[in-house]
Formats: sequence, C-alpha cells, structure tokens
Amino acid sequence: MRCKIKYPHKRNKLSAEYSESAYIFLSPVILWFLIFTFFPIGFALYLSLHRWFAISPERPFIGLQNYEKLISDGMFLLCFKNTFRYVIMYVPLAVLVSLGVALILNAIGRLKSFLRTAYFIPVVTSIVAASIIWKWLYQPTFGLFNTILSLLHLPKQSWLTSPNQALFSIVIMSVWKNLGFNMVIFLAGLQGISETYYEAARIDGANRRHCLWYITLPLLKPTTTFVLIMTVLGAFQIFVEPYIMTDPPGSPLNSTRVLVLHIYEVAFRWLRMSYGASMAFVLFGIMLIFTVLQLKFLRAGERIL
Amino acid sequence: MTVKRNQILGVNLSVILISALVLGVIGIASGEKTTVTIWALSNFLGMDPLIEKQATAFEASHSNIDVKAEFFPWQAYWDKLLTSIAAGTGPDVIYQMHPTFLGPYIKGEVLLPLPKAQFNIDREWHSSAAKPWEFKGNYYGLQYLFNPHIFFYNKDLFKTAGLDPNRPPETWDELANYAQRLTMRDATGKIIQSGFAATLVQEDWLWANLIYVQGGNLLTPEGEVAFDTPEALKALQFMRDLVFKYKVNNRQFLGMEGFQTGKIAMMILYATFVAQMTDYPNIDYGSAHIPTPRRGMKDRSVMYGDWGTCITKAARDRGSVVEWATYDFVKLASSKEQHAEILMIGATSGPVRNDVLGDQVLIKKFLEKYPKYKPVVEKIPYTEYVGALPNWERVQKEALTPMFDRIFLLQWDAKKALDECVKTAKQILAEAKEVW
Repeated sequence: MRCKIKYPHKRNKLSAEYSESAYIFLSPVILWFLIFTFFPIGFALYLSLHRWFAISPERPFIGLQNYEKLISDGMFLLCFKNTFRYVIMYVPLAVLVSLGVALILNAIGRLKSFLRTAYFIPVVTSIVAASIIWKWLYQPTFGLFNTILSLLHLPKQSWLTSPNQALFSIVIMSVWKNLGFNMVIFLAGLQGISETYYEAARIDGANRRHCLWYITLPLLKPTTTFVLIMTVLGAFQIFVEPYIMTDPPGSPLNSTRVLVLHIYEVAFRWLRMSYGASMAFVLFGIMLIFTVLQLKFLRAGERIL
Repeated sequence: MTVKRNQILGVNLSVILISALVLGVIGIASGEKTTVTIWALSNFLGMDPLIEKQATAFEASHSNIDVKAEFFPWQAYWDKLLTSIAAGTGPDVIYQMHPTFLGPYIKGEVLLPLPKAQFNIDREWHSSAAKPWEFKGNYYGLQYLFNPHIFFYNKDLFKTAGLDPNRPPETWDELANYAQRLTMRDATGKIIQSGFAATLVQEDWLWANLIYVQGGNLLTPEGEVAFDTPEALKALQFMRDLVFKYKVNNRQFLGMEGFQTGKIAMMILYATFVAQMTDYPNIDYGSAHIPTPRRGMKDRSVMYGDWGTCITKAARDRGSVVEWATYDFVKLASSKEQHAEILMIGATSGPVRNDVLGDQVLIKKFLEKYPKYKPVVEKIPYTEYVGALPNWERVQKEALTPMFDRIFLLQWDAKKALDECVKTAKQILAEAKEVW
C-alpha cells in the first residue's frame, strides 16, 4: 500500500519577500537561459520548417518537408544506425567499468585518494588532445597498441582503419575518457550507503556477493539511474572523438559517421541549416524518448513512504 | 525587508545605466575613424605578417582609415565567417576565400563584384587564375595563390635504392618500377618504407591528377560528373595496382608525415607542401612534374581555382567611405609589388599576375630561393581552367572517400567502386545546384 504524506504549506509575509528577492537574483540566469538556450531551440524549430542555406536571403516555409526527406535520406539513416551502435556498445561498458572501479576503490583503504585522482585525470584532459594521442596509439603500423600486441605475439588490429573496428575503437577511448566522472558519482552513492545494512547482513550470514546483489546495487539504484541517463544522453551526442580521430571525419566507409557529426557538416559545411535543424530535432526527440523510458523503467517499483 | 529589496533593485538598475553610458561613450569615441575589417586564416602559409604590413602601409597612406586585421584558425574561420555574415556583422574583406566555397556566398548576395574600373582582372591575371572567380560577367575575387600538385621524391632513398636522384620517374611504368625498388619490408612482410604514397595522402587529388595528365576532367563546365570515363577508371586501377599488385603502400601505413620522416619515398601533393618541409631540413628531396601514362606526354596543368581575396556586401552597407576604402585596400594587397612579396615569402608556389610571371629577374630570384617550385613555374604558361568544383567537399566525403575505402579496405573492383561513386556524386551535384 502506498501512502503519501502531505505537508501543510504555510504562506506568510516573510516568505513572500524572500521569494521575490530570490526571483530577482535568479532573473539574470533565467534571462540567460531564455536568450541562449530557449530562443535558439525555438529558432531551430522554426528553421526546420523552412528551407534556408545559411547566408541566403530567402527562407521559404516548407512545412514538414525536411522531416519527410529524412525518412528516405540514406546517409541520415546510416548515421542514426552508427549512433545507436555506439550507444549500445558504449553505455553498458562505461557504466559497468566505472561501477566496478568505484566498488574496488570503495573497498580499499590505502591509496584511495591517489587512485581516485588518477582515474579522474582523463576527465579533465582536453578531449581534442586526448583524441589526437589515441589516434596515434591506434596507428596500425607504428602505434603503441599494435606494438604491444606484436610483443605479446597477438595479431595486430586495424583499429581506426577498419570499418568493423573503428567505432569500437572510439568506444574504448570514450570509456577511458569518461570513466572517472561516472566513478566519482558511484563512489558518492556508495559512501551514502550506511554500514549498518552490511553489518546486519553479515550477522545473518550474507557473503560479499549477497551484500553486493541485495544491498549495494538496490540502494545504489538512484545513482545508477542518474549515471545511466547522463551516459546515454552523452553517448547520443558523441562528436569530438570521431571528428578528430578519423580522417576524413566519419571514415572509414562512414562507419564512424554519427548524427551530431553529420548535423554539423550538413549545417555548417554544406550550409543546409534548416535540414540540419530538422535532424537536430529528430535527435532531440529520440533522446527525450530514451530518457522518459529510462526513468519509467528504472524508477518502477519505487515506494513513497 | 522592503527597504532592502528596493536597495538591491536600485543598485542593479544603477549598474545597468552606468554600463550603457560607458558603452555609448566608447561607441561614440570609436566612431571618429573609418575602420576596414579584414578576416584571414591564422598562420596560413606565413601570410600573417604580410597582411599586417599591408594594413600598416594602407593606414600610413590613408590617415582617416583604420585597418583591423583579424586572424582565425581554420575551422573557426569558416564557422565564424558564416555565422557573422548571416548576422550582418561580417568583415569587409575576406582575405582568404576559395572558389569551391564561392557559390553560396554569391547566391546569398554577400559578396561584391569587383568594379571593372578599378580592377583590370582580364588583363592583369593569368586566365586560369581569373576565371574561377567569374560569375555572370563579374569577378568576385582576386586570386593570389597558385598551388598545383607536383611530384615529390626523397633523394636519399633514391641513392640507397641505387636510383639516380636527379632522374625521377617520368611515366607510370617507371613510377611503379621505382616504387617497388624503394619499398622495404621487415621480416614479417610488413612495409616499413613505402615506395609511393598511393593511399592516405590526398587520394582524391592524386586520382584527379592522374585523370588530368590523361586529358580527362573531374567535372564538365556545367558542373556535372565527367569522371565516368576510361581515363578515370585507368587512374583508379593504377592506384589499386600500386597497393595490391605492386604492394608499395597500404592503408595501414603513414600519411604525408611518412614523407616528412623519410618513410615514404615518393608522393604527389600540392606544391606548397614545400613550406611544410622546412621543419624537416634533414630530408633531401626533389620535385618534378607528375609522371604521365606514356613518355612524351606533357604534364597537363589544370586550375579549378585557389585562394583569393573577396569584398563583402558589409563594406557597401557601412557607407561609401568604407566601400571605397575597401576597394583601395584590396587594390593595394593585389598589386604587383604585393604579389611579388607573396611570392618571395613562399606563400604561393607560383605567380598568378601576368606582370609578375613576366618579370624574369623576379622569377629567377624566386627560383633561387625556392628551387622546388621550378615545375610549378614551368607549367603556369600552359595551365588551363577546367571549371568550378561546386559542393566539392561533400562530393569528396560522400562519394570519393567511400570509393577509396571500398577499394583499399574492402578490395572492391575499381569499376564497381567507380560506378557507385559516380551514382552518389551525380546526386550530390544535382542538389548542389540549389545552393550554387
């Protein structure tokens, strides 16, 4: 049985004055958001219903033609597929690896701060610099990775030069880059779990696996939900890594051509601004659906007491 | 509390009022002199100091005019140019514009045609450098750079392989033969020195030049596909053979940095790569004309346009003083003296002005300083303009690059790959007509 407790809300003169001051102090930020976030979104929606070539003076209204064109646009569908593949490969790997590292770090006593910092360093490293370095690490003939593989008598890989491996190579780099960020969030969540639960479980004979499965993971669910949602949203917007690591961007054979990269090229290189805007809104719609579904399924069964 | 809130409001309003007053004063103060704004690429073939020198020289002779030169990195330049022009805040002069991007700017009416009274382009510019900027009888830009592709080869590697370092290959058969002799492998068969960069170094322009030397073209004068021809297929097959039959290079090897580090013996690349080789003084290399399919054929030289300077509509919108100051500045920047300077700093591999090309003393001095540009200077007189390349970046990315990927990664047959490429390119060029 669920029951909700409603707290009576008292409104008094003092609170009203504080509220007004609060709105005044919030107004610059609200104004900022209105001008630099909501207005561009609205304008992009407007553009997506018109035909506009960036610097052309004409901007005729064409309704949903841009969206209709997307359905049969082979390149857009390919980018969509590549982005989906990236999300499916990256998200589970990123979340599981960062959770694993967080669990290990939470369990150790010594060197915890040092290791936490070490894992976080890639997060604060410039994504462009990191992408350039990884591009060279992946170089098939002279790169470090293939050198290590050959020293271990393992077959060399094509990495970024293979249409079958390029996207996964970028996934590996992204996991390394963002590991620290998810790890610190998981660590914070783990440290919020009271020790008394584990003590009680140990008294009842629970081993480590039981503690992990029946205590840690359920109590970590809100943190996991947050990390999953943020990771999925970030994955859908992947851009810098394929842009820098592949030459030309999106190669080989368009296997790393992802949606945001394609939107950027369509809008800013080929000047088809309105068509690019329509793609951006489709991406927005997909991300919104994913987020809503995630929230629905991940929060199902939560009880309000 | 009401008093405190009013105080906060009062402080905020005062700050806003004072800021507006200060900005207004600055605005008034800065309005006394006319400013001509130039945008240029940052560190592009060492042009920055020359552009600043031109700005200073112009200011010295025009006391009421300020010239503000701003430099941007490559990507920021194009993004900023586009967005600022769309917003009406763009520069008066685009110092570096390429004809392949020209179409939308002309169609968007953001570029000014150069007045014929001020600029005698037909007479002063080599026709191959003038025509790329012509549209419906008007010229929209003044080219300052001439940068065809030439043949580069590593003389030290030639000597090691027992080849004459002063005799580069002249035919395709010789090229293949030399490349095989110059290719080295380790015990596992992996290439450690490539004889010729058949892939990974501007494959599309290599292919284009192999088409050109056979007399073929990329596009028709009407902007339609002209590479569905036997010449194009022959060029593609040759590149494929170099990788799979003669095994002189592959997709796992290095790009142009391989030539810079002495691991690639020969390649075909844009002439101003010479400027990039100054950082590698230990590499003894030579330049030559591109090998032809048979002996006795001329290394056909084509031009589809290269970097030049344009004037934007913003100059006219800001009043006649700015407009005429802008024309005067561009006239100064495109004069014989300035083009001679551009030549001598190595920012171009050859002159585009007829008077500079005809100045034998200057050309001799130029070639003494930059002997690697000799093949370029030799071919300027017979360089022909083969037409614009509208929306070419998109054709490269969506049609040409996948074609080379299919051949070099998936080992597709050259004909099959070319057919797919032609199909995609035709579609893109048809759409380009909307923008061009």
